[in-house]
Amino acid sequence: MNWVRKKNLPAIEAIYHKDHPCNNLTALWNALHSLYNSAENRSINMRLLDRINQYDDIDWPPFTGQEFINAIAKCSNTSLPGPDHVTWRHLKTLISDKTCLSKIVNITNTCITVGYWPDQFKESTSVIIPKPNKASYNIPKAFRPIVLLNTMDKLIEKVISHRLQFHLSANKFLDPNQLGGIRQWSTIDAEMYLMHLICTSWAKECHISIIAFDIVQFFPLLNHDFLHLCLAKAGLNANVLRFFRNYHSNRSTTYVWNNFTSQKFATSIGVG
Amino acid sequence: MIDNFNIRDSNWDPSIQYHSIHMEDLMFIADSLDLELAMLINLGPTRFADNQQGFNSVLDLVFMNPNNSGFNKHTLNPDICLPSDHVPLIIEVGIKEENIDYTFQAIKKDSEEEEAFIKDIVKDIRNINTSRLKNQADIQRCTITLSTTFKDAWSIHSTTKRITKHSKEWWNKQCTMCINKYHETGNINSWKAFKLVI
Repeated sequence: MNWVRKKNLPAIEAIYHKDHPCNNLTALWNALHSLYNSAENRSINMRLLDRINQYDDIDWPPFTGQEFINAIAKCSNTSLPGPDHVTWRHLKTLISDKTCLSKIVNITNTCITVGYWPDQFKESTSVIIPKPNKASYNIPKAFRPIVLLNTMDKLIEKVISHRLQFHLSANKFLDPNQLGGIRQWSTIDAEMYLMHLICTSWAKECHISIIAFDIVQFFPLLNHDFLHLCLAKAGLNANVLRFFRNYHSNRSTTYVWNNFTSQKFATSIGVG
Repeated sequence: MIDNFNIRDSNWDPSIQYHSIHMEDLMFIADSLDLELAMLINLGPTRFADNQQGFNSVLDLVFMNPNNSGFNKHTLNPDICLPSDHVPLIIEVGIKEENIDYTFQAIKKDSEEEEAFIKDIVKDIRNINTSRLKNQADIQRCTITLSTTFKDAWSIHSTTKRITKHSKEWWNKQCTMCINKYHETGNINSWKAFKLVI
């Protein structure tokens, strides 16, 4: 099985969750949801953030149309549409109309000033696909969800994300060792840094060992309160913080397994 | 539910004089799934013994919902078991036409319909009043209009397509060739060529 091929779900007897087979769809949805939200209600030690200094307030000017044009420029024209049937190609045509673009910019700016993210954008579809090369496909962990969002929603989120990253970088809030997911940084930079450390050690006639570890389900299990406290430390103003709190609240997803669709499930943790 | 359950029991094998301790568990599981043991039209062993001293036995069972039109209608076909020591079970499962989803809605790329689809969306978004957005209700009103705009334009301009045996497959031999070439070379141009064919 390969990540890039068509994902036919494997023929299996039943998904086992907590030693019980899921004999009906309700049991299957509950098994999937409890796995992807296993950190729900888990207590978090917020004092971990005590060691981070409070950064200066960040000025957050209104978005401009150019930010939307820049954000959509690199989006693939061949990507499939979201649940709203709109593709990036459609949106590119749409925002090339100045009046349309200004309306979307206005809505986005008001979202920030009011501190509100609309309910329509809080709904997602989680399509369950099998992970490749698993010995057995009878446990929920052998599968992963791909979260589908409306394309318009994704465009606005991209613009906000670029702006947030710019401010956090400019304010030097991001750790210099944070290379993943940062614009203009890539895996090659991480490799070069690692090579530099190795070569420097060798030059000093030292031995060097590397410990690599993976944090399981890091993004899906992110605690929202922790995240908001982090953003407050970064110096985001009250409106923007209120926006992110609202953005993460009352979110829901619908699971899709082959042609079957679940009812809505509330999601109170995780991002992306 | 069809499998080689490896359970010998007098309930389904007349050559056996006893009940297996696993029989009740199996029947309980089947019952919890609203299934019943289906009987063969041509009774006979489903597994042949390895040697002449051994017994042929019935190990391969079919459990179905009794309301299914295929219930009690499956057959054994020993002529096609090839080197296997198990006999293939032939079962016909009736699937109603309305249960097969062979249509879908689509707008053809670069078509007049697609042009009209975008034109309608642009027209409707232009008409949204965003000059005095002050509170959550105003934003909610705008986004409802946005989603209605997309929904209406799609329902007006998309057409129903039928999936037939002549329909283009999602993944074809060319896709396999291109992705293999990309895996071999790791070249960005190979990746672009792959993206063009899918």
